[in-house]
Amino acid sequence: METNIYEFDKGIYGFEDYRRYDIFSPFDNSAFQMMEAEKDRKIGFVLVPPNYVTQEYTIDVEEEDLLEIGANGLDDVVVLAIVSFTQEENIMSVNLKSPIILSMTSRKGKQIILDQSHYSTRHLVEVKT
Amino acid sequence: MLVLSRKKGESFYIGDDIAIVILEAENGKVKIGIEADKRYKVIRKEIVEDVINTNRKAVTNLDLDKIKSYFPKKST
Repeated sequence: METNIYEFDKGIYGFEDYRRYDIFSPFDNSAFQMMEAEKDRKIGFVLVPPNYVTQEYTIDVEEEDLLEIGANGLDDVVVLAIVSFTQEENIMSVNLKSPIILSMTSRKGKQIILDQSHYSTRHLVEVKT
Repeated sequence: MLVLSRKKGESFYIGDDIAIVILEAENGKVKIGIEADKRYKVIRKEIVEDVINTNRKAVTNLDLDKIKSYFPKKST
């Protein structure tokens, strides 16, 4: 299984002390990935490309954020959204308002907040199995 | 916390490069103008709190059995 460590200089919101994450694809369904804190594997998130759960997900990534993760242009950036599983069967909640951006070349990441966007932190989606 | 009284139209600085101006103050609602370099992110506090809660819930509700039932593990 391929594993990759990404550095999050500021952690992610609410988890500022966790700065190194292993992001890998343990699932058959390759769209979904796992992101686990290197120092505590219990701190884990399921990630999905936003376009997998919504049509026409377009965001403005600011120059400052690209600089911060050392991205070499937009082609170098991967955007992923954090998935939360709800009490209801087959319904997952996807945070489209504050996605994770990753630079493939610098192996750095950041969670950004799209303050002015209409995207929700709880975009509900039916799980297709 | 520093408490400052300002009237409509009045401003103040935070450091050398952030200027805050009170544009409107009526009926318990204040409209604020912020002049600052783009590197200063202005994000409403309740949105940050929402994101923190959403992240925490994502970790708390991380039910690996459920995920595995949704997405079977790679058979290599």
